[in-house]
Amino acid sequence: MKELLKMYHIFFPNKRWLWVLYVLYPAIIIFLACIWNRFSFTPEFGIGMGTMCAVSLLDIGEYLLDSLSFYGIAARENASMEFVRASKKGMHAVKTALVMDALRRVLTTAFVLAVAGCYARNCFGTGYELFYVQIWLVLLLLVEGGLWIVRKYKNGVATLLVLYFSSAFACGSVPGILAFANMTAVIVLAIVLMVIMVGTRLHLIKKGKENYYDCGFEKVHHAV
Amino acid sequence: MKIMQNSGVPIYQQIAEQFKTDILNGKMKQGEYLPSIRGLAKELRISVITTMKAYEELEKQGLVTAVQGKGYYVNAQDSEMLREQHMRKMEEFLMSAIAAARVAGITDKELLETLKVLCAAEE
Amino acid sequence: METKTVIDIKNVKKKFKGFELSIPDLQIPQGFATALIGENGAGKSTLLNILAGIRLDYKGELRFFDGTASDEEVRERIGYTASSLYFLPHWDAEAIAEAGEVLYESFSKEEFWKLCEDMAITDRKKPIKKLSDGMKMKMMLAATFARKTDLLVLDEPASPLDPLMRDKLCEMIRSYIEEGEGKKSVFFSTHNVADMESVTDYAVIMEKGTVVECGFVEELKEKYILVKGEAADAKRLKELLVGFRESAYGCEGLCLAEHLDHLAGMDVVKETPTLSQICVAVMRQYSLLKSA
Repeated sequence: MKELLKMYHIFFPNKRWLWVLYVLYPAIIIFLACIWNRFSFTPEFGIGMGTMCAVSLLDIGEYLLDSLSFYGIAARENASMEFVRASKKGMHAVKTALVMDALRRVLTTAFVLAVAGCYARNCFGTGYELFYVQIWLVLLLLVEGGLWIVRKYKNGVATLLVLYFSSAFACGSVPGILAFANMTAVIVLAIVLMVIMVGTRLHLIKKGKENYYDCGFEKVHHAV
Repeated sequence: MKIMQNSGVPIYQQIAEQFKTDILNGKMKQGEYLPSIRGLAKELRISVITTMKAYEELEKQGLVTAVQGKGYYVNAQDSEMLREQHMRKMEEFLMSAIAAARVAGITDKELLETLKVLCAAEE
Repeated sequence: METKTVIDIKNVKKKFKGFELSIPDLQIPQGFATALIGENGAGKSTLLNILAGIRLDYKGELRFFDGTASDEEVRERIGYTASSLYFLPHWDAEAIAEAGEVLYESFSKEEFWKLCEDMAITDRKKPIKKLSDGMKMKMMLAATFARKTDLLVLDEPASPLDPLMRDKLCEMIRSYIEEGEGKKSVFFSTHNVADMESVTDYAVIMEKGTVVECGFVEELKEKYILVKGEAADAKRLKELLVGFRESAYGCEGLCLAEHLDHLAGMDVVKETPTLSQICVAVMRQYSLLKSA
């Protein structure tokens, strides 16, 4: 496990970043979510506002983290990464990093929402678990889908649009799901999410392999 | 060892000459190994192929022998051959001296006198 | 001269738009520093990419070392530097040290930091994208020399370096070869033949995707003689010399040693050419032929 984590972490700019990623980022969001729970009288308001804060920040946070830290590992063709690709462990490292990144995203979002959820249960009693699960799945779907678009259309404007819309959508779904949290929906969402996550990973790995075979015109100028 | 870059004499030849002198005047003993070709190249800041060629030159002239995996060692120098080689060199220089004397119209007697004086001074 | 081969290249071909790399037969000798020389666009980087294993779409066979090493082992034993974005742009020196340790078995952090110090890389926390080209190359060299390798494949290592650092690079290459005692080799491409001549043992000259001349430098210097003649003889000399060049005051070119007797009786001066002069003459010959 430690080996796998190490392979993931080498794609980040430096060690300090890891503190931000694993400690600062979740801590701030947890704090903001729980604050609402603490100081609200009705659960709808408290949970609603807290979760809206949490999901919108998690959403934006994931995009920012991806572009700033992962450096669009498979998306940016400019980074030819010969240091990585010339090593015998290069492709393996890339694959591992992509999988670990997905895992981290799933676990971080789960952790943040779980803590917020537990605190909500503490303040307002049970009955909101399904809501938290569903909003978690919706968030992940939006993030994965958005990331795919951002990586495909590496264009500043596209990125901004994706950022705003997905964040707004995440926020907007909170009241709806709060009112109508539903087991079937959860199952459907979970399946769709798994398909999308596996699909994007495979696609990215394929693109990574293509780097070894690329024959595009830019590469000619670049390489020759 | 002084190597000249622009003298018109190839570098490998200069190196070979320097080692040859050392071998012939006894500075390098029989059985002693020459420095490794790569080590010498590093010290002199030249390419390995140059030192290799220099050593091959020395081998051609019978001064050293190559041993697979160990390097080049100095051959026993025939004192007779040594004497002959130095004799030839001496003759060469004397020929130059005679030519220079002739140009300036200096007589053979004056030349021999000068030679005697210089020999005495060297002692 | 008995020499072992460290890379055996047979029938390597790669097609690009408007250009084809085609090398039927090339051997790189072991224990020496080989220079790959050629014009821009001749295919040097492509060949080096193929050797380093970062370009896999080519036809042909490559044999490294004694031919028994697996692909993975070969990657581990080769140290490669490139001229483009080698590292992730947001990495700093410490991130490179971490990555090196994870990606390569024999990477030593102590060695890496020592090399950084030797090459005056002081700022450990500055991201790569903010460094000058010269600094980037120094980092690449530090990361490569910090490993235990048997073959270095360097793509234009001297180009971004200042003269002092180029000299240090030559020193590093000589030390590497000396340590190897005949087992370690270096294969580098260069534009600047003159600067690298003092460390080059074997030269490979490429033009438009093929190898047009190769050989040990000392042998090439015996094969080609630099001939300088009078303007009056230009017409006759043009036929005989490679890379012929004339001016109002005279003409010059390289003559193949075996053809020297054709020059008998002509008013010419003969000299041993430098590697640079050989390369220019040979390259010009092939360039001319193509445009004619």
